[in-house]
Amino acid sequence: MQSLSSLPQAPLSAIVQMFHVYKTFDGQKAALADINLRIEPGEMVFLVGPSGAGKTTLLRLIFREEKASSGQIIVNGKNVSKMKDSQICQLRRKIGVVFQDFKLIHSKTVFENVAYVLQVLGKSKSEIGRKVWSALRRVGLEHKMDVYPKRLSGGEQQRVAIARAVVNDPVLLLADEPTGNLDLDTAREVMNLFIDINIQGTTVLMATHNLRIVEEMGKRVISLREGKIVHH
Amino acid sequence: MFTTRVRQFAYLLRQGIGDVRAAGISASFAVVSVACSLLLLCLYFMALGNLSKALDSALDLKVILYLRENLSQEQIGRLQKVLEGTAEIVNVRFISQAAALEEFRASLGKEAYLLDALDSNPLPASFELSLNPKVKEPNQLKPLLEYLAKRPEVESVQGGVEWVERLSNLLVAGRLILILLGVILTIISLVIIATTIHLTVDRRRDEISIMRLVGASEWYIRLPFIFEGMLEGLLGGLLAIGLSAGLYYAFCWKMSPLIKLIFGAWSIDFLRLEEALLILVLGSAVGGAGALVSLSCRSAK
Repeated sequence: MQSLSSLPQAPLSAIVQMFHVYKTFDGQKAALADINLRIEPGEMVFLVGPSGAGKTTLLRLIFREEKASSGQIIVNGKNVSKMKDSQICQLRRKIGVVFQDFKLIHSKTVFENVAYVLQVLGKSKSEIGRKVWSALRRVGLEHKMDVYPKRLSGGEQQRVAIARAVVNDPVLLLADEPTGNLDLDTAREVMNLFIDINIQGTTVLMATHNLRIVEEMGKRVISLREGKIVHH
Repeated sequence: MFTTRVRQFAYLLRQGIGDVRAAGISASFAVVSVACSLLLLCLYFMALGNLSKALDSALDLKVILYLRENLSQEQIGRLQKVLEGTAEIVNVRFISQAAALEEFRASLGKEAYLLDALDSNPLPASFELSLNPKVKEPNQLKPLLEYLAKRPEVESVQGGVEWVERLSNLLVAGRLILILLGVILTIISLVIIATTIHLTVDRRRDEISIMRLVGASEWYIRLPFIFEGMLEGLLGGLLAIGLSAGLYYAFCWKMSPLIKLIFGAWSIDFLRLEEALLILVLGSAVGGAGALVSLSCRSAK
C-alpha cells in the first residue's frame, strides 16, 4: 500500500479523492480493485455499471458504511480510511445520502422525517422549522408536511428522502440508484431535482444503471465493471 | 453548545418516554419484575427498621433481680453497691417485699381483696434495673446478667436478654435471606429489562440505521434506550413503594390490636423518606444497567 505522501500531489479542493482503493469481503474476490478517482466541488458525476460492479460498495466507502481494505479515501479534506468511529458521525453530517428504497421512518410524518437530521444536531425548533420548510419547498412537497410516508407515491417518498439529504446543506450528495423503484417519468422528475441541487452548488455522485437517463443528462460518467474503473 | 446539548438531551428523553409507551406489555412486564425485587427491598428496610426499633425498645425494658429470702440488710446493701457501680446499669431501684405486695395490690385494682386471703407475703424483694441505652447488643448484656444470676443474693433474673438475642439473630438471618433473594430478583429484573430493550431496538432497527446515516453518535443512539430502561426501573420502584404501602396498611389494620396488646403504644413504621428515595434510585439503576447490557450484547454481535 502506498503512503499518502508518495501519491501524486493533487489540489486539496477535491470533494472526493480515492487512491488505489481496494475492498474485499471475507477474503473473496475484490469487490473493488485499484480505484483511483477524483471528484471536484460542484460536479455531478454518474457511477454506472452492471449489478455487482461495485457501485454501491464505492458509495459506502465514501460515507464509511464500509471500510476500505487498503488505499486512501479523502472526503472533504478528511482521510476517511483512518477515521475513528467518533469522527464518522461528523463526516456523515456533511454528506447527504439517498437510497433506492428511500429509507424513510414510517411512524414519522414527512416533516419529522426531514427534521430528524437537524434534531440530531440539536438545532432549535425555529431553525428546524425554517430549514425543513425550505428543503421541502425545494422538492415541491411543502404542502405535505403532515402526511405519513405510506400515503405518498414512490416519487414523493424519494423526494422526501432527497429533502432529508439536503436539509443540512451537505457538501456532497450521494445517491444509490435513486430512481430504481420509479417509472421513467417519475425518474426524470427526480433526476431534475438532483440537477437543481447540483446547480445550487452541491456536489452529486449518483450510482445508477439507468443508462438512458445518464445519456440524457450529459454529465461526467465513471464506468465500473467487476470492481474496476473501465471508463472515466 | 450548552443549549444544543440541552435540546438534544430533552429530545432523547422524550424519545425514551415514547419508547416505554410504545413497548406496551413488554414494558409492563419489566416494570412489574423490577417492582417485585424492589418490594423485597422495601420489606427488608421496613423489617430491619422495625426490628431494630424493637431491639432498642427491648433494651429499654427493665431487668429485675429477684432476691433470695431472708437476706440481711448488709447483703442487700452490698449487692446494691455492686449494681450501682456497674456501667451498663444506669438506675437501680430496690423493691422490698412489702412494697412489691403493695404494687401488686394496686395493679389488681378491684380484685385486690383476693390478697387478703394470703397468710404471708409470697412476693420476693427485688432490684429493678434500668439499662444504659448505649448498650445495644445482647452479647454486651449477657455476660453481666449471667454474672448477676450467679450472685448468691439473687434467686432469679427476669430480663429481655434471651428475647433480645433471638431478635438479634432473627435480624441477621433475615438480613442475609433478604439480601440473597434481593440479588436474585435484581438479576432477573435486569434480564427482563434487557430483553424489553432488545425488543425496542429490534422494533426501531430501521430508524437506528437512519440515525447512523445522518450522523448520530453511538451515545445519541443509545441514550433513549437507557432512558427507557431507567424509566421502567423508576416506575418499578414507585410500584414497589405503592405495594409496600398497601401491605403496610393492611398489616397494621389487621395486626394493630395484637401489637397494642404485646407492645403497648409501640407502632410499626413505614419506609423512611431516604429509604424510599434509595428504592427509586436503585430501580432506575437496575433499569439503566439492563439497557446497557442489552446494547452491549448487540454491539458485541
